[in-house]
Amino acid sequence: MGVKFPLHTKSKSRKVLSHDEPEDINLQVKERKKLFKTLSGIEVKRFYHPKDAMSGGYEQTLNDPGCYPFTRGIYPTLYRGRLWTYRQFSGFGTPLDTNRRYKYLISQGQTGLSVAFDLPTLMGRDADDPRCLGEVGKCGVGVSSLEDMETLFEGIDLSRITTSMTINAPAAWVWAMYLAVAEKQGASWKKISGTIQNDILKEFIAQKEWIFPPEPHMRLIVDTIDFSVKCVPRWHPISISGYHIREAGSTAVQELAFTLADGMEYVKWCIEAGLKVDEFAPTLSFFFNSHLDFFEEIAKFRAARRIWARVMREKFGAQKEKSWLLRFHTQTAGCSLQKQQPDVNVIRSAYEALAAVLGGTQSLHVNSLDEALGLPTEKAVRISLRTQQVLAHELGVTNTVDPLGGAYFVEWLTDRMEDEVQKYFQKIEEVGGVLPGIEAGFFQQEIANAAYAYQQEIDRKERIIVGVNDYLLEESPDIEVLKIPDTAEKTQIQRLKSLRRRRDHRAVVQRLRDLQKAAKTSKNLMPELYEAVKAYATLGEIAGVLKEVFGEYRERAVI
Amino acid sequence: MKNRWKQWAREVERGDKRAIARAISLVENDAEESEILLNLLYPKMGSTYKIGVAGAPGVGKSSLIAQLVKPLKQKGGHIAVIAVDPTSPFTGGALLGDRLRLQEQLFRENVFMRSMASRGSLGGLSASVRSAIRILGAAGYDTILVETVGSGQLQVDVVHIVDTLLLLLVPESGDVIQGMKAGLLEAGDIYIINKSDREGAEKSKQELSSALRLSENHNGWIPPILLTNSLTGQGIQELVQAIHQHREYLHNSGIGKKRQAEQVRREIEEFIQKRIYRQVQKSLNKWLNAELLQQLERGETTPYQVARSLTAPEFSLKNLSIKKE
Amino acid sequence: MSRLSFSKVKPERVKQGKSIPIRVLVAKVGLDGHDRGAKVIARALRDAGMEVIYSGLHRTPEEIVDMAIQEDVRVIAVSLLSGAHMVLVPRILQLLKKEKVKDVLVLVGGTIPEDDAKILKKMGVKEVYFPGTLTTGIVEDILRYTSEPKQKLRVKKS
Repeated sequence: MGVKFPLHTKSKSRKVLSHDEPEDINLQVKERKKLFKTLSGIEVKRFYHPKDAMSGGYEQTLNDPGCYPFTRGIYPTLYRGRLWTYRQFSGFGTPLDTNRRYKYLISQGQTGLSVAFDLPTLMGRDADDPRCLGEVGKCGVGVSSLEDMETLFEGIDLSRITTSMTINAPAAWVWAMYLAVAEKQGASWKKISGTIQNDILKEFIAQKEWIFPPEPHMRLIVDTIDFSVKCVPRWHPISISGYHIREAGSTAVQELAFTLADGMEYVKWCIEAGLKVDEFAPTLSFFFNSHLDFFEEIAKFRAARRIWARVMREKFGAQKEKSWLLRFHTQTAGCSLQKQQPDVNVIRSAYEALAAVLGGTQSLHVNSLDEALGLPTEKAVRISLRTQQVLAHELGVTNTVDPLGGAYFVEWLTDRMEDEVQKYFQKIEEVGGVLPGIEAGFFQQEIANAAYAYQQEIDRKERIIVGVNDYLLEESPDIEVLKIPDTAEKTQIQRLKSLRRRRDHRAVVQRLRDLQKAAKTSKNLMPELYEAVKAYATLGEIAGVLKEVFGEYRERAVI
Repeated sequence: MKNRWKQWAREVERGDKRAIARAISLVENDAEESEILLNLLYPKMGSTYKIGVAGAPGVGKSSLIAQLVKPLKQKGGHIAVIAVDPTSPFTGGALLGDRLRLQEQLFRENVFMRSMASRGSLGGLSASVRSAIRILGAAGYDTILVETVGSGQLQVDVVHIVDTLLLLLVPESGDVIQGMKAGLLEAGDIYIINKSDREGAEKSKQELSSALRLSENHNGWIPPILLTNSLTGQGIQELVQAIHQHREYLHNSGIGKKRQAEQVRREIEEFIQKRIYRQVQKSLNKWLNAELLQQLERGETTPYQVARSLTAPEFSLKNLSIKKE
Repeated sequence: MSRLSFSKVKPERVKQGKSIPIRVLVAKVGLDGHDRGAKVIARALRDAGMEVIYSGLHRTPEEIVDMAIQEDVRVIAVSLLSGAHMVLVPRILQLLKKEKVKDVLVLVGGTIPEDDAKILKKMGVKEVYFPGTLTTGIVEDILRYTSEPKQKLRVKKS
């Protein structure tokens, strides 16, 4: 308030409020807009009153941090006990390129690794697959075999670092590669810790990187969860993700509702497969987006914990407290980054990160200013990491748990988020559940509608995005962009060719045959996958034999 | 000039995809010149067998077509697919064709696929689809699948274009049966309950069967109701067989000839309509000028008099200025 | 009784020259599954009165060019967020050239560095759009580019 913007901005249509203007008396009754609403379209009142908040009672709806239903946080001490994990997602080029970047990040104070794989890897295809032309190493690191995985973690002690891997469709066998590296390093499976994203439902809904139809993918997920519980107890075998749903254009409400619905679907499948809810529930984790509507995001995180705790306790009958906890990783919103005036992205991401911290996240990735144009440079990543460090050490927001608890507006909005999510649960039930909803295009249509509505608001200037439809500069400053060497693809293809010559061909064929045989039964596939990767069967070869059993998925496009 | 048209027609006959695609655009755009091309192509047409695939959105038409392409091709033909979608009456725009599930299959089998929008012009859709079929026929495509997404009028139109109409339903489409446009549900030559793995497939079959009273009427052809699963390919073989049987039936019973005669009649009718429509447009464009508008505004003439004068055989400018009869 | 005042209307406005919709192929090429932008653009172009064919995900350049030819589109709008644009887009251009398709506009949108955009434009891409582009601007561009004079009847001279 009270600031007039310099003249080189192109804002002429809107009046900037200023205390200097004598007719300010009008402001007491007149408001700038007819309607104030959140990014999800929830109408926001002029102010909030004690009567608006906590109508359900403190113990029932909030309770102290660390107490059911965990609205205020899953731990009693939260950041007073331990800061969140700085986990900057990264990966590009060859495994060697990325290995170097990881070592740099660790030297700069990063406390957890987060692997970004390239598209061929995400789709379960080898670097030399003709459909991968131009894609190898481009938006992540390419890993086609155990050999690549060995290079990726060369010199990094897996027993001392936690690793998060954004991998879904081929998650089971990529994880098997990681486990094989751990074993070779002598890191005990009982001790290693990390996450595989392994969330195929949001792939069908939003991110669109799949291999098989939904059912066999669901089976593989149940297999990994089962295997994790029994053999790799500190691992999080799934990270149920709203991030990509949001990036695809959903609202905060949709992100939350669809993600929790996905989570419930996984729990259902695990229970149906005979797993005990209290054995696997504590290994589940979540991954949310933090967008620009500050309070709505905070309300979203708080509502998420409450809904999940209630669902796990009441719907699925989990007995252990650990089974009720919703742990989550947060990444700031990539879709809020703009190409114009890229420096402004630092500000956006910092506010989004603050919302995540006030919402009680367990780990955080802050996007870099140049990511509307490509992968971030080292310098840009450093700013992101520093944003986290400033938040952790300089802002004082870590001194108390859930500092916004009890704020009338925040509590009201948290309740509203919960109500809206329940409405969506209802709708999902009406379309027959999550899988029929995917097949009918229900989620995809909801997201596409929200994305289009959002874009129209921007196009019509009903929503101002700085540098995009207002406050423009004649010339947007150029920034440095990370160049991925074109040699990565060649290198990877050559590595793969060489591996195919060197490995024990007969063993590979045998292991793949065993795998295919097992796939036709209902047994857990992890042991066969593990044996196959250890024999250096490639990512694509494994996908290939499984496709013969499971079939391939084709989407009906919903626009 | 004439040579250019001949050249174009030759390219179409040779099967040049660009030439075909542009010829279809020409008829789709309702260009008067399209008749020059159609006249050249008409004698070159072999017999084309047209299969309509109709059903509500989401019943699996596209994936069914993807499954049909290969077995139909085994009989040694060239296959083309025309997918028709509705044009938005408000913006004139359209989102066309769910090419997604089909594409790899079509690409592999060298199928020609074209999406067309209804465009809402007078008799326009069926006329342009018919002409597109003629063009594809001249280019050597002997089996043409016409898919209509959308519903209502689009699907009714398709009845009069094709030889064999496949009507697709899914087990839970009880409501769809209720709401299906009169005249369409009865028009199916083969009924398909797709997604047969879902609950209630058999029951739907019973319901449909009793709703249609299939044993009656239908001139000796009792439309079968088949269960298919276009994802797994279950029931496709039976469907292909039923299609061949229907084709034979059309041939042996003489119904096929009757249908073709009816199709040609409609085609001529549509071209008459188009010609008249074009003339009317031309007249309007020519005569609805500032002066006439002023006359209308002053009440010196009425829209009805203008219409009457413009279509009168002895029409002249003089007629228009007659203010009162 | 109120009667519309026609006199203010320019006569050309009432002439019903049948306008032919612009056909556009919105193409997702490569393994990239980010379809938000493609879908938003598809809808925006539809709402601007164009006929939009959406390719669906994970298409190859060959499939895209094949589609463009069969659908006889005036514009191919390629959406890419995978970083593979410097391989896949030139391949599309090259295939179009091979098929002697000259009057199709190729537009590209996505996460594309400015330097790459310059090179793509030199290769024949008409325009490159970055994140934060308004759809209204893209619609205007297409309307402008497609109204630029082109060969009338596109029949090859023998």
